[in-house]
Amino acid sequence: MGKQLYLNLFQSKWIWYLGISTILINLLMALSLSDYRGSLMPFINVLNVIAVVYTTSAYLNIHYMLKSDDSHYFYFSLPNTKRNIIRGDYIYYMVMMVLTAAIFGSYMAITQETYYLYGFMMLMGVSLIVMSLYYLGYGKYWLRYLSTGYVIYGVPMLMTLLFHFMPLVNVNQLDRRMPGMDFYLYELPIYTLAVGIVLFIISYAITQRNITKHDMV
Amino acid sequence: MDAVTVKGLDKNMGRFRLKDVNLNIRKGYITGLIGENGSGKSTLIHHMLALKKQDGGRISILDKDLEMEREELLNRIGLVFAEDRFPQNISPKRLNGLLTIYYNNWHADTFFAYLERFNVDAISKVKFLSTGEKVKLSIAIALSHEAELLILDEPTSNLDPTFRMELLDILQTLMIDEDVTILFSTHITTDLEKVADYIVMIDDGEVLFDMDKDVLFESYRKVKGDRQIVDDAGELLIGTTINALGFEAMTKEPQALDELYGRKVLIENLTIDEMMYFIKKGKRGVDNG
Repeated sequence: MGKQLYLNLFQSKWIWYLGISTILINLLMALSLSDYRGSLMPFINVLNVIAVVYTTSAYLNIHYMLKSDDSHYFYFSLPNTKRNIIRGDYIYYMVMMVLTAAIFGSYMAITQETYYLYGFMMLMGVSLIVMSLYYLGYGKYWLRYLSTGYVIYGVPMLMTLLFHFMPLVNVNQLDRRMPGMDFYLYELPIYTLAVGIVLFIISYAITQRNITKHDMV
Repeated sequence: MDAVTVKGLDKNMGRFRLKDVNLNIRKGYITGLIGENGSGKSTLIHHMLALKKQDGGRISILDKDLEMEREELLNRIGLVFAEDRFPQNISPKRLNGLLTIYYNNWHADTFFAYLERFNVDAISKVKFLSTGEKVKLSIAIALSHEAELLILDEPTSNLDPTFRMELLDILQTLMIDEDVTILFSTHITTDLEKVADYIVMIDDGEVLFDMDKDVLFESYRKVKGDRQIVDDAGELLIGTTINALGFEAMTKEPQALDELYGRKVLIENLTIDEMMYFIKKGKRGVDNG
């Protein structure tokens, strides 16, 4: 497990640099005078979106790097069990979730608005669901359908951003009460996160069971 | 005692299939794995590394179950791939850091000593190394973690003749100094004639023979003669080729042919290349040139 986690962290150093830089910039912004923030916020928003996209899709980027130049033959021939590879991947994903939470937390330190928490929960829930679905396929096909993994990740995450996160921000910034939307904006994220956590656990158990039954390359 | 035991290995890969492969790689010897491109050599090796999962049959490496003890076994296997499988944006020096984590008995000093001996720059990224240098890097890795079983998939194909000779010397030294087993898959069969103890031929997913090299060369001979003999002694000939000068074939019964036809036939020693050629011909039937 430790070997795969090390390999993943080794492969995704630049995502770490991006995430930590974003957190530091967010904290600097949070500590700076509010007069300066306005003009820099568009840049900060884009930076945070990019950082979260990379931290939540880090497992796919790792697999992309493993597959490029067919180097997965080399990596998969290094001493490790298949179950430990999966265990390392799941722990790595959780570590990246912590990094994503830290980015969100530092962003909320700038905005001082708690409603972002619902957007965060929704994104994390959807991320957990798509990651779990991807790994159910990975346990059978390994890296053979990596591009499908990007589609499974990209479409739901984009839709969540456009149809949940943005309306959440708009409704709150415009300070409008929309009772009909309360379930969608504030309760659905909790259910989605719960479903994501359950699926994450189930997919881990299934993938661990199936991982030794199929070709790695 | 066997370092690798393959029993009844079956794998269906669409148009290609490994069919009931049975194989023993003897411990402490060099076994040459020969066969045409696409015959199943690399697929068989991928099964030995648990990169592929068989549909049926069993593989045991160093007396352990491959799937159950994969981590321990891969620690004890040194591997050279047929093609460049390295990550390209990493230098051998950084690769050393990664391999230190993965291998229980990784020897960085041995690794760098081999790189220096093979004249491979440890600082350059892999993508800037030549094909031969990448093979040398692969060999350096395989030799730096106390591997008991070396699986070399076409290691000499991209090497210059000087280094090929050096590699064969290294392998022979390893055999003398340490208790190492080597599975050597290659197209350059002259290398095997020099170093191999056993020869395994695989063709179209089937093991055609698995024999002691010396016994193999004693058992089979090349035979030439008049084409009329083919009609008479066809059953004693394998992979017969008929041309304007007569026929050429391989035989397992050189003495019988000598007794039957005397000076009418010429019996010679075979090379491994010729053996592969005649066996392939034999599978197709008589070739009338």
